[in-house]
Amino acid sequence: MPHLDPDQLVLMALEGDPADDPTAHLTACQECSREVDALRRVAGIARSTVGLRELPPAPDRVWNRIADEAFAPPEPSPGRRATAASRRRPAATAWGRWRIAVAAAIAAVCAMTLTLVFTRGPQPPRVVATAVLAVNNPAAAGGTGRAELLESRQLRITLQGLPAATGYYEVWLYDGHQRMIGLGDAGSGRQTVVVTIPAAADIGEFPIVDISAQRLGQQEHGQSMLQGRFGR
Amino acid sequence: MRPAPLSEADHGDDDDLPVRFAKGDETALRELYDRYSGAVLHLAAATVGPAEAEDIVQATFVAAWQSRPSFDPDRGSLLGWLMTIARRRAVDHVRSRTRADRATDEARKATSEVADEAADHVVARIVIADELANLPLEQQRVLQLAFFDDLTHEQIVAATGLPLGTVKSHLRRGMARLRTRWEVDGAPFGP
Ligand SMILES: [Zn+2]
Repeated sequence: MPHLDPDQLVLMALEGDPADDPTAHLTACQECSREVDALRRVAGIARSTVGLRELPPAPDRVWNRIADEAFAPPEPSPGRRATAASRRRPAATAWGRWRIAVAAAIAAVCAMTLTLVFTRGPQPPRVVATAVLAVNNPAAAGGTGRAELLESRQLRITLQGLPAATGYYEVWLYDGHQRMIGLGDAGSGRQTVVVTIPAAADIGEFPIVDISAQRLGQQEHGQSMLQGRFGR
Repeated sequence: MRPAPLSEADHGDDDDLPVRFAKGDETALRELYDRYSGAVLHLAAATVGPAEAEDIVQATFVAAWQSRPSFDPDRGSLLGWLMTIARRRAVDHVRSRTRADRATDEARKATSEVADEAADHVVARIVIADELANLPLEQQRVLQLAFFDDLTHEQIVAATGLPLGTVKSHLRRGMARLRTRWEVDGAPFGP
């Protein structure tokens, strides 16, 4: 019993006309019917591409953010980072820009923190609000933390009792629904760190502080460990 | 008549964009964006929703640029590679979102499976649309009549005046190319 020829297979897939298979070969031959099925799937996908033929490019604002990040000058050396780099981009508004800058810095200098240790300044900034961070994950059992919102639009994060990080801990703001903003490294989860809130982010809109466990090189939000909310 | 392909430019076999991109030519990234950001945005919106789609587009192109040495033209097209990056970003994003939402394990698994499937389907459509746009014009026209106008091969003969054998061979060769492209680029491949 000869197989259907390639033209017949294609016509069966596209038109399914039994006249193209007068001996009902397909009902008996697995090989040919698998072939027709595969072609049918391709044809099905192809038929559904009508609306895809003229997809306009994404807006220019997205390109601008990409160019900013992709073509940024090389990062300064680790020793200068905490001062020079944090002054250099004080008004970074796109949080994506932040997250990647932060992740890149972490990958490069994992042990260094981006943060300024709070006790260093002569005039400690005033605390505007405080949120208690509670366990949000069995893996964080025994952990606690405190987030203090400073008048300088910074968050001071104090963590205790978290398990030793396999990667590192990271501080996020969360709107409670879908959006998260990565603020920076919280190191091994055992020290006090201060991170800066991007100018575009509003604490009223992102009232939840989330501490996540991150793998090295992971840019998206990792595993939520602690969470707390600023009151209204 | 040729529809606008996913890209403005003709990018057939003589396309030098993959080479310039791999070499780190900054203008190549912009060209890549002009060609494919619409497709990436479409994939992102279908997977994570429109509100965060632009962030996925941004992360995808930046990651593509930073990992350009890992692009191997022998393993698939630049579009397919970009789709792999975008797909992973989008699906990871959905996963981390459900994690932050304190979803149950089951709900989390279901959400990430839905995201996986949605992303697969969109990637398949995008790479097939791209391949269709790259077919030789006469072959492309014949397939479009079959797919979009739902004509049988006899009706295509009548509509185009092409000989029956030519129509059949266009259908066969065109379908084979779409299928190959789907198998190469439609399934996610590693970085
Ligand atoms: Zn057979």
